[in-house]
This record gives sequence, C-alpha cells and structure tokens, in this order.
Amino acid sequence: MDQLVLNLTPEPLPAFDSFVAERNREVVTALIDPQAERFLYLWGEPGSGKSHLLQAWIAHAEALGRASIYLDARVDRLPEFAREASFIAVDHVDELHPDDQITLFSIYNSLKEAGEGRLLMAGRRPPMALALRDDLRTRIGWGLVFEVKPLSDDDKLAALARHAESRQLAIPDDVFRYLLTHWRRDLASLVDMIDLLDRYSLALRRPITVPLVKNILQTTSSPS
Amino acid sequence: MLILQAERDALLKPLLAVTGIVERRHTLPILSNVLIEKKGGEVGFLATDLEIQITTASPEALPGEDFRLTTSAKKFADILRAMPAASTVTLEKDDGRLTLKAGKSRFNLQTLPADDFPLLSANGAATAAFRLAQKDLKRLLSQVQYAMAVQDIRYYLNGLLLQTDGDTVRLVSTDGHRLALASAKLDAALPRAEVILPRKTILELYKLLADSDDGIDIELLASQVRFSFGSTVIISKVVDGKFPDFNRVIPLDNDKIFLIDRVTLLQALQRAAILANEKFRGVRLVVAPGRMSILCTNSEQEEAEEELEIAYQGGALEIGFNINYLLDVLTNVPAETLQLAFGDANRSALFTIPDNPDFKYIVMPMRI
Repeated sequence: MDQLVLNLTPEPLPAFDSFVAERNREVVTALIDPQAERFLYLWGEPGSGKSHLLQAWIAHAEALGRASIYLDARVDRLPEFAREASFIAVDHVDELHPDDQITLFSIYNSLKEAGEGRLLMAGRRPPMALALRDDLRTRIGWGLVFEVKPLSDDDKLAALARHAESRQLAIPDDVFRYLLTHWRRDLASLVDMIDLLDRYSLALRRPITVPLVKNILQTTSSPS
Repeated sequence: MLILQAERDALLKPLLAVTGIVERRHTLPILSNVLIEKKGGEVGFLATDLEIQITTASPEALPGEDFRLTTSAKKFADILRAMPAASTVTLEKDDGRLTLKAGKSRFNLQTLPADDFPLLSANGAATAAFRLAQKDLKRLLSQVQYAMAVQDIRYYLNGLLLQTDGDTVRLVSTDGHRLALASAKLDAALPRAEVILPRKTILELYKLLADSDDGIDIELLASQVRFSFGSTVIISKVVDGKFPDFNRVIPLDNDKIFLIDRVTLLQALQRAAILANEKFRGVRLVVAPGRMSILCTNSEQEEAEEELEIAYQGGALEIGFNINYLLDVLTNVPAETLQLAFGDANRSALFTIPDNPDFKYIVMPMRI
C-alpha cells in the first residue's frame, strides 16, 4: 500500500545561482555578459551541467524580457518558429536530425545577418569532432567555445546540499556522501535521487537518513 | 510571611491556562517553573518554553502585598488540583521557600529567583492585526488543525499557515498527504502577510479558546505572533520557512462529482474502519452510477462492506485512501452536506462544502 503525496515542492528552475561554478566561472561570466560574443558553444562530459547552463541562460533571458526558446535535439525536432526568438538555446547538437542541421544552419545565418539575438549550443564533443554537416560544424566553431569542466566530488556535495536547501529539506551530509559512492555519479541522477528521497520520506513519514537511502537503493534499479 | 490568600479555583484556573506549554524536561531548570507575580490586586501567571509564552491573570482582584516568584508549575498545579474545590489556599514565602497551606494540609516548595526567569518580549510593530470572535477562530482551527504534520523533517509542515489578504484570513495546514484550507471574511482591509504558526502554539491556542462571541486580537509581528483574549496573552515565535503554494495542489479538473450527507458517510466509514488494516488504514471506495461502496479488509482477511446511495450518473471509479484522512475531515467540518470530487485513482480528491468557497480539503489517494 503506497500513500501518494501532494506535489508541494515545485521543480526549481535552473539558475546560474544554483550552478556550482568554481571551475566554470568564466563560462557563466560569458553567458551573462551582454557585450560578449553572440554565438556560443559549450561542450563537456555528460553530467557536467551543460543543460543546466542552457536552461539558466534561458531563464536569465526571460528575466531580461527577451523572447527565448530552449530546444533539446534529443527530445524534439527543431520547430521552424524557433527563429522568432532572440535567445535560442539548442541542447545536444550531436544528436540533431539531418534536416534540423539545415534549420539550425539557417537560424545561425539569419541571426548573424540580423546583427542581434544570441545562439547558445551545447554538445558532448569539441566543435571539430562533431559529426555534423561541415557548414554547421564550422559555424559552431567560429563562435566562442567553452569546455564545461566536470564537477569535482566537493562541487557535487555542495550542489546537492544547495538543492536540498532549496527544497527546505534537512538532510545530513553523510546521506550525500553515501549517494556519491553508492549511486550514479552524474549530478542530474543525484539530484533526481534527492527528489525521490523527498517523496519517499514524505510518504513514509520518515527522516532522510543513510538507512532509508540504503533501503530505497535496494528497491530502485541498480546503477547503470 | 503571608503573601496571598485565595480560593483554590482563583489560582488553579489561570495556572492551568499557562502550564500546558511547560515541558517535562528542559535544559534550563527554571523553565519547568511558573512565574507568579502580584501587582496591585492582580495575580499574573506566566509560563514559557522559549518558543511560546503564555500569560494570564486571576479573574478577580486579591488582597495582599505585591510579590514575584517562580516555583514548579507541575507540582503547584498537582497540589491545587488535589485540594477540595472550595478550599481556601494561603501562600507564604520565606527565604526562597514557598509554603502552601489549606485546611490541615501544608506543602513546602522550592522557588527560583523571578529575575532569572526568561521572558519573550514582543518585537517590532505588527505587520497585520485583526480581531475575530473566539468561537470563529476556534471553528476555523478545528477545520484545519488535524492536517498538520507531526515532527516532519520539513519543519514548515509542523504548523499552520496563517495568511491575511485584504478582507480574508486564511488558515492552511498540510502533512504532504492531505491539505486543509479554511478562510473567513473580515470587515477589514488587511495587508498581504503570512506566517507559519508552530504546531504546539496551535494546539495550545485551540485549548484556551472559548466558544464565545468575545474577541481575540491577533497581531503578526516580526517573527512572532501575539494573541490577546480576555486576560490571556500568547506570544509565539513563528516557523522560519516558506509554506508551499497550496493553490497548485488544488485539483481543478476532477470530473466525478457528487454530494453526500456528511453524517451518513462518516458513520459508514466509522463502521468499516473497524476492519481496516491496523498499519496501513486503507479503504477502497467504489463509485458507480447511483451508489458508492466502502470496502475495508485487514491482515486477517476480514472484510467490511458498506453501500451508500448517491445522486451520481458519471463514470465508475475505484480509489483507495487512508481511512483516517477521510474520518478527519468528516469529523471536523460542520456542514450537513459535502461535495466530493474525484479525478482518477492516482489523483487527489477534493472535499468542499456546496456553495461555500471557504473550506477545501484535498487528500491524496493510496494505492491499494
């Protein structure tokens, strides 16, 4: 018998504030700087925080009152109306459909000609190693390119603590350390696990402790 | 030295009003004491646990000198309670000892210096202040207080949201499984303000409120709330935290809707609950055109089944709940008829009073 719980905590919006920026400070600086290059490309390992940065950038653009759109090539095809926005983020460019590569190339050109608007893209590999159309690949490389460095364990612990705090959850530090050594190591999975623990503890009326985590990890699918 | 002579009840009643919050064990020994202070004819009683402070006064003026002392709240109350009702009690104080005499009984109690007693002072100006009849506040509290969490790690759930907004005062409580909301209209224009009142404050306040038209003044201060009614004043710290946005959990598109007589449903559930699983407390509701069945089974494979006629022609639904969450709302809401609105077996159900927007109860189902 499982008690379902009310969805009291809204999903926090990715923001630059919640990005642990110790080693990636220059990336965040470039993203916020209104004078910076208008075409940017971020690359790095899965879990290094690229998608978070893209979404934070979009939230930042919306706060500035700019029309913006976040597109994830892994999830959806690029819509034609995307070019209407002035801040365009395209995630997972490695996985762009061939037709979408043409669309993105055309968006790039129209932004370039318009002289305003910004395009932020992200992928796993540096521009020259991307398996994309030559014309698009070179354009990606012409802009400002940053490697997003993976988070250290301390960065991850800090990010998890901050996430728990944003959900007003009191979680002892040993729970975070336990997760780091016994669960998937990328931040997205770790954060999802905190949210799962939140729901479990609310449903079971139990505090979030290492024994509870052990219990849940045993019943959840093993790390892949 | 004789310091006070009074009827037992003139001391016991105000004493019991303040000592409900005194903790049995505390790191500060003086907190298990009550501060008794006589000024002019008025004898005041004060107790605190550093989070809440309650003061009240004896109902009538008493003769004698002014004094201040603290003594064990529990022992003093236990002694007075054990005295015959109409007996006259005298208090004498000598060298830090308090002697209580009544008839042929004599008790010698320790005291601690009154100047060492920690007092909460009200801080800052009120961000919002309003007045309600005591019975109205009591009724509002009874409609929501049962849904507060108990010792949850989300400290903001171990309390009750008090919100003022224009002419509306709103109380909301939730433990994550269900949420109760009650509001009332006032003849006032209040600023938008909200605080989370600690669970203990709510339970104590509820105990002390009378079913009367006499007013209670409520002031939201910086990180504190003050309740003043009769000669009693409660000052309470508030819970530091952000209460969840309750509007986002109110289901708006539940389409399986019917009215039901509250007492009929309550009694049926109370009978069925006898055979509900002791640990999980699950109940299954089977809703079909014209009728609703209530089914409980326990770990010994015993079964209870109730059937109610309902005026309902919509789609069928089978949904599980913790039966206590249903009993809670049915017990505490003073309405003859309730409206129940369901979505599907995984979505929250909404209990409301027909044509009355002032009460809402949202309860999440249980997968059975």
